[in-house]
Amino acid sequence: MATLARPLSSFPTDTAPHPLRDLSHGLAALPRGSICEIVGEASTGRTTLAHSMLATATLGGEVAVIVDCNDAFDPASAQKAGADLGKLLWVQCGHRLETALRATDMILHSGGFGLVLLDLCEVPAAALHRVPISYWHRFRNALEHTSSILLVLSRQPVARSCAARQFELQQQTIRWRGHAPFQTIHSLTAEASSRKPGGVSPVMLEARAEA
Amino acid sequence: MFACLFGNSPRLPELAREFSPLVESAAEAVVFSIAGLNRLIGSTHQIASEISRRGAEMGITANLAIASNPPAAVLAARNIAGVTIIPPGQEADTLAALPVEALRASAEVSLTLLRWGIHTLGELAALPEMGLVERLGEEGSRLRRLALGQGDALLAIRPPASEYTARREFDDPVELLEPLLFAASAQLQELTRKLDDDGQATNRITVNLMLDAGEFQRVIELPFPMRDARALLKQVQLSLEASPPPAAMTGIEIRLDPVEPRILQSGLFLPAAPEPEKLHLLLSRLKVLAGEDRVGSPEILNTHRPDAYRFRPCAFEPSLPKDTARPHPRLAIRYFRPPPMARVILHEGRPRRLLSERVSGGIVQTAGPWRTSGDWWTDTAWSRDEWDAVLEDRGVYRIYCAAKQWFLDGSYD
Repeated sequence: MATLARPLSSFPTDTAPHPLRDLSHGLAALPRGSICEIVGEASTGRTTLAHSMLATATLGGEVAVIVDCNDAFDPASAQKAGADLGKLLWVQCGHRLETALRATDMILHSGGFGLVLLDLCEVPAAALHRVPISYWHRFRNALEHTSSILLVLSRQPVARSCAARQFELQQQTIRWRGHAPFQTIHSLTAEASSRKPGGVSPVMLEARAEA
Repeated sequence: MFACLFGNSPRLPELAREFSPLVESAAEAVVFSIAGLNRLIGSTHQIASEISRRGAEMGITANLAIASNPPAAVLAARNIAGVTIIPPGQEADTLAALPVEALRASAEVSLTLLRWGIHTLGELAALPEMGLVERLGEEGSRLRRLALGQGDALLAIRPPASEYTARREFDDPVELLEPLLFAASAQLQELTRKLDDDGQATNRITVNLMLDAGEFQRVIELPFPMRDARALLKQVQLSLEASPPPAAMTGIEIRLDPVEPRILQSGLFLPAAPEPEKLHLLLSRLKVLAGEDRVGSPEILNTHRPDAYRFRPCAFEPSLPKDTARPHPRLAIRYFRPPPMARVILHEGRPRRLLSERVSGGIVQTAGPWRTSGDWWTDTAWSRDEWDAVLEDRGVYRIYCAAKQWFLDGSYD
């Protein structure tokens, strides 16, 4: 006998089944209405990955924001990654962590943005440790039941239990083209692994330099 | 019933508004509704007499026609001198003697009618409608209905230009912004209610503060029309907080410039975008927090100068997703702004050690130098030798030497 009811598993979910597999392809790996983190040391591809996410969001017609704590954002790199700069709001915070957090709070409560990128890569670990956990709870509450994603870039995890996803990047290789002394950087590869329990295996990401 | 005034006087709309709020102004003709005036004034003849008397008092010379519909009233007023009252049902008889030129049809249709031997509206009205439609199309039917004095045109009512100004003087001078904003809130509530009633919005707020000595004025330009009192109050607050008045205030005057409201058609399948009112408020707050020149949409300048960009005003309209293939991830650079000075130790002309306040260490691999220069014909000329350097901790950095001084430009990430 036919039934009109469909099992819950047949309905599409808001996340891809294998987040890491889609990490390099943008927002499909990140659950909407949550905080996600990308952590890693310098030159591990954090910014490249974030620019890919910006490109996915803006080409999808969404408006994205970058809250740039240390004024490090390069719009030319983002444009080369495919981001539509006309759909991007850039807030330079002048190396002030408090300003970056307050700006993020205002943006999340204003609503309507598909991706909010909080860039804390250059913030010292000691300063990040002093950020009260209540900040992140407040951000998480503001994101609930919205279609926005707060993506935090930093050297180490900062949102702790408030983050729905945490990805750690580790540099693997730097490939060069040409022969010494006439060499240029060809690409940088990094391994991305999930720090939250999920049972997915790490994937390799490759960022090519400009030819 | 409708009345039409036809003449050259610029005061015709003023005369019409003395009798009705429902007034349509056109070239040399003003049409207005006189429905309900019979209770106040009396019969149609008495209404016409009252309009004529008031017009004479105002020094207006014009034709007046009263009919059951606007097109018939306009036709009569334009073509019959003096006062014309057309009782309901007698429109066709009253207009029958008028020439077909009174209909102001196109030259081609007028010529066709003349060739048919049709000279008056009465002759046109006597023609069969189907035959006219077959030969002249929809225009033929419209002209015949006009000739019959029939019509159901609605009045295109324009509200009179209003002043949206509220002024208040304080008993005692006010020094703090909070009580001032309390007064401004009430004024903005009143003004936006008036805008709402008139179907208008505003795109400019002018705040005049009366000081003990002199005046202080702030003009706030809004990027799009709005009439939300809370949003307007927030704009006033942010503006006054950014540059507060220099002395105690004895009064406040707020003026809103009326404009047509913004009309948006959203789509069910468009991605979400920030609401314009909220976005403008957010941008104002962010500029107060981060700095006036630190918020906006980036725009890359048309130059080879590294890190050349500027901010442009944000305007995010909802748009459909772009169906374009995304490029392969490109290695991004993170700039150190401003670039810190560095000390670089060279070995055989190539950097071997980097010392700076941000990063220090031995260099294990380099690429370069990449010599760039530009704008030599201006005061902002630049010339530098760039190197890509991999440090011992596997960090990849861009350093450059300009005017014999090394700088740390950024890191590849």
